[in-house]
Amino acid sequence: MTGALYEQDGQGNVRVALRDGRVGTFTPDGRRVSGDKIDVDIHLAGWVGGPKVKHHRLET
Amino acid sequence: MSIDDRPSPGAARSSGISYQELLDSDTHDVPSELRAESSRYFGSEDVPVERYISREWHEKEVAHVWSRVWQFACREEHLPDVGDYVVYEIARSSFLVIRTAPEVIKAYWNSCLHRGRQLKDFDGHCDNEIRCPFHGFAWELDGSFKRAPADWDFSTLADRVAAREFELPEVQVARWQGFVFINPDLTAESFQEWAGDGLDHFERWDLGSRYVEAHVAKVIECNWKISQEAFCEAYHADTTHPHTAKYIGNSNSQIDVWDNCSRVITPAGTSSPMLPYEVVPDEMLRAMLDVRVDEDTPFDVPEGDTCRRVAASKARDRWRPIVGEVADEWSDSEMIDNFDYTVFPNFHPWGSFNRIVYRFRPNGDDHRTSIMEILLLSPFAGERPPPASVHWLDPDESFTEAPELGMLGKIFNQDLANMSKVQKGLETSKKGAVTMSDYMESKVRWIHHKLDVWIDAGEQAAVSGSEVGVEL
Repeated sequence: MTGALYEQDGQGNVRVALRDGRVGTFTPDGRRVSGDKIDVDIHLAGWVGGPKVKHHRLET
Repeated sequence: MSIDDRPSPGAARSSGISYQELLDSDTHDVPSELRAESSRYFGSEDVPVERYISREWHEKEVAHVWSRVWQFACREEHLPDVGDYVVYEIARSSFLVIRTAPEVIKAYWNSCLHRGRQLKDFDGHCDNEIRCPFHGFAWELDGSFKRAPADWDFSTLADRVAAREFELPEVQVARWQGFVFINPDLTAESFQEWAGDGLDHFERWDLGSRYVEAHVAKVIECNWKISQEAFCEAYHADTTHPHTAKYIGNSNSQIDVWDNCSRVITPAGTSSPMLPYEVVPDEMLRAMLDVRVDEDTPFDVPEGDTCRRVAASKARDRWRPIVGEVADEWSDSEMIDNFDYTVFPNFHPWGSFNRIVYRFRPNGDDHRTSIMEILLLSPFAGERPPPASVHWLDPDESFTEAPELGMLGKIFNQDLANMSKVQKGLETSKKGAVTMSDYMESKVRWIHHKLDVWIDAGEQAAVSGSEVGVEL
């Protein structure tokens, strides 16, 4: 809803980039590791930072 | 909106496309079960936090609810052979659910009539008797007394056996669509009368023909109602499951309440009205399939079509090899929407092909922790596969440690991130009460309404001396 981009950083954490240019890195449970102060969405961090798993809408 | 323009309490509904309006565009006939509507307004008052945090309230639930209600104990497939048994526990009590004959399932209080030891500790099998592992008192599978070692030293035993005082005390058992229920109260109405309207919808979906493909259990650090209520409304989804907002109409869910059964139908292939922009079909599909920015979708939404119709068609393609022609007969809604039914107090069979069944209960006698279980009931072709064993997750394991849950594990992890924090928040609450919405959270209100009914009736009966039933 905010237009923020959440993506895995390859180190087990989540990189969050906001439209206003701020960038921060967070653990999947939402603790700040580095970067700008961001009001991070803990649930989205967990979703993006978690494993990719079998999707029930693609496999039965 | 001025105060005068407000709809009557409980009558307001979200903006956006309603579930019933979505059904109007279904590519297949919509069954009457989905057209049924039964909203209820349970008031707008706050609910005291004591219900979640106090020992006194827990004791009321034990005395007046768990001792008297029908509760899901196991599946029939957990008892395939005569002598197979399951130990079902609730609060301080333990029950032995056992197949005593090819077509007979009974349940006994799991307590030896000699010195009281639990007769069985774990699920298992008896060859031809139920034998206590303490001194060896034994019963036939049908509960009749069989023998006592050194019975010469029990001078009254023969007379008491003759008087049928040494038959294993039973509780009521009911079977429905492959599920086995027990009720400790021998005076309780039958399960069929109890379940009533709502659960009859499952005649169409026939969960008896499914098998337990997965069974995951975990102790959650919160009261059983907190863990359960995390799955009783879709209002939380835009915040707790923000990735779903583009493809699920969370606040457009339809909530129906009958007497002891309720449901929340949450439509998919439609976006949340809370999103401040319109979601185009390709964007909706990407969100639905969890396709990330640097990935391609496995299929597309053709020009002029909708994500909802395409997703339903793909679901038919997946299910057709397993369930046959039914896949082409059922509605789009049954292919992709979410049908969370609840039978009071804690049994959640999902309808259609959702496959989910939840059970929530206190973790033993601890009112601050609970057991959450997820069973996936799947259709199968050919011979019935054996049911999956329970996969207990350790306290520090998340739901994605159970790969058999697939994508659901990630969803549950998001809910898990809230549950123990709700308990902590309620323990520290200055306000001392929780505020619930009138409609979207009406299923949660319904559970509290039912708890009030049962506890009030139990307390009044205790005062008047007319109390029936049992004490757990």
